[in-house]
Amino acid sequence: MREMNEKREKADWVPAVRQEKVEEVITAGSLFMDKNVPDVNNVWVLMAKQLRYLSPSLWGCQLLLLCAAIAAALITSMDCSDAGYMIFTMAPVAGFLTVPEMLKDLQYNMSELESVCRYDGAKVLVLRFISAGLINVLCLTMISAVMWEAFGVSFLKTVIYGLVPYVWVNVINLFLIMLLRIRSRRAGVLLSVMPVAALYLFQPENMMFYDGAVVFWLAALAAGVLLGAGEVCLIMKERNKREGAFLWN
Amino acid sequence: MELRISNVTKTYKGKRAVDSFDLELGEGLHGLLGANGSGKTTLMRMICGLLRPTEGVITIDGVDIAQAGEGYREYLGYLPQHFGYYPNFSAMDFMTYMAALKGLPKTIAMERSESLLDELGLYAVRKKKLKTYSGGMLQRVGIAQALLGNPKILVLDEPTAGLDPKERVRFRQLLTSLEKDKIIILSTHIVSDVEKIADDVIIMKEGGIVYRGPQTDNLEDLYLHFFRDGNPEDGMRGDLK
Amino acid sequence: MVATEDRRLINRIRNGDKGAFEELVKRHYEDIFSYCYRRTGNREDAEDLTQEVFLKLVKAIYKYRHTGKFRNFIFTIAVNCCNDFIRRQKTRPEKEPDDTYLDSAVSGEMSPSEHMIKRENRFILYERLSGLKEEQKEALVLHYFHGFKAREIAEITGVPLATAKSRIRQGLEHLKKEYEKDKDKHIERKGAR
Repeated sequence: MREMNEKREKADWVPAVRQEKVEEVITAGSLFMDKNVPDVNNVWVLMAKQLRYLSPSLWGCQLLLLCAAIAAALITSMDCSDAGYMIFTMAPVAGFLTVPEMLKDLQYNMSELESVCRYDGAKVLVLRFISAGLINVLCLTMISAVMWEAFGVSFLKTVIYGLVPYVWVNVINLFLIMLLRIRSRRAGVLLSVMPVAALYLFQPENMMFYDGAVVFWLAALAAGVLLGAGEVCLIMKERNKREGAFLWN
Repeated sequence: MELRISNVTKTYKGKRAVDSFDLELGEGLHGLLGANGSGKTTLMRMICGLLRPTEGVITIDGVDIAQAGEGYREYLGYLPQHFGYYPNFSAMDFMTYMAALKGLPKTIAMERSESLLDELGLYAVRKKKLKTYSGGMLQRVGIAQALLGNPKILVLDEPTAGLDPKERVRFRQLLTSLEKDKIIILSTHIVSDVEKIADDVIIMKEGGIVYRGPQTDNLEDLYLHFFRDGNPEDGMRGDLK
Repeated sequence: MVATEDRRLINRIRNGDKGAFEELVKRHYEDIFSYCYRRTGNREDAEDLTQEVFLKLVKAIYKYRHTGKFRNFIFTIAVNCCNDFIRRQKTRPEKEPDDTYLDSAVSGEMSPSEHMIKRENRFILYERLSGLKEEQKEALVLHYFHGFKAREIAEITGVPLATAKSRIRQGLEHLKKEYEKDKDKHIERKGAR
């Protein structure tokens, strides 16, 4: 093979490369790259930016709740029903900042600017919901796992007792904020406390451990998810119309 | 490239904000002058696809911008009259965030963000949070993000609001240094913003065009002429006092 | 390993990294230039074509996701550029291969006798290849000077594998015949003396 290559080289007649020509090619290519942006559809970069978009308060809330759950598991000795009720009380707190975070662009007057970008309103909103939703659900799952491990509450029940209030708090928040067209960030956050308070008043502890209760909770979860999905679709429709986004209020 | 606004009208609750507007914009810097309430911002928003015309159509090289959608927005750079910011973001965070929304790859986003912030005199403070910035600094961040995607169509609505005279001169120099193959629309009520740099001037009043022509030495007088009978405040702002 | 490095460079170019483009050019310029030169026989044309190839490459990197071997990818562009160029050149008078080795002889890189032998070999081989059909020449150059296998040549030139193999075979047969003819003429001349 080497001999063949050597023979080939001796028979070859190609002149040496001129360095200035190589530089010309590099310059021409660099100029092209300056003027043209590659067609990159990088959803992961956008998703990462949405994580950056979320306020430290949302992250802090999740961390606080997780620490509280771990502390409760380590320090206290609760029975099943108390542990279940603890998850029920913690879950809305995990979620009450989610809706104000999702609609932060309206509240900080950024929607006009964001609506003019390639990845605009509706697409970005979906990514925001996914990002925030994933964080919340991850936190709730971890709390549920701690409760299940520490207090022997059935994992399915802990997940349901966590998800149902979380979903309903978000459904009510979305409804109130969309209905009242709240623009102020503070007002939005304060308003989010109302569904949380309402859920505590509901006093579901009597309904938690009946045999038929799981069916009720599953039905509540399904209803909440459907309603929430409907609300999100309405918001996205409004975002797609674009006028709705920044003519809010 | 040609942006065509064909017989566009926008009506809000019975009031015509833009009235039967007809305009063709080719490559170059177009100054759009008009007092507050003349319909400039409504027109800018329609050009950016944020508002749909009640009547008429806006096309880019013959294609309706409403149908072009994402393909049109890729060409756009926009600075709104009032824009907000996320207070916890630094200027660099903000720029890279906007770059991600514009679909720019990471390396280009970093490179362009740094170079634009440098050009606008914000490089030293790029890592400080936007909530610590003055009004003028925020406006410069807004101008920087409008230029991020190397847009072919640049729409600037009152871009010099909050800028001091030195920053305004710097901004005009920045505009004139941009490549000539762009359509730049500079909407303002300050005559000196467009004096000497605009290729042509369009004066708007009550939702319609009252004058369109090339740059002139008597731009101030021309502008005042159209607003003489209106609110004495109109046309007397800024350097006309 | 080389292939992985090329893939990394492409990803960096796709992200707007001009340094990666520079590296890619330096890595492959000689290979592409030598191919273009072997097809055209003219240095200036080969340099222009090489630049065209790299510009088309960066455009293609921006627009498309090519999953095969990078070398095949860039050579596909080179083959198409050269073919387009030759088609345009068909209406023009044939150019003589240029005297680029004169430069190296003058600069003292090669002795005059080495220079003469190279020049002679160059002319002979160039004439022989020029006598082939363009597609046979293309296949032979890719196979013998750039080390591409028949399957890769088929991919690069956009023909079935059997066609690529047949072009190489027919090209070689034709070259062999020409060399045999030359050899006979040489023997005759010797005999006549």
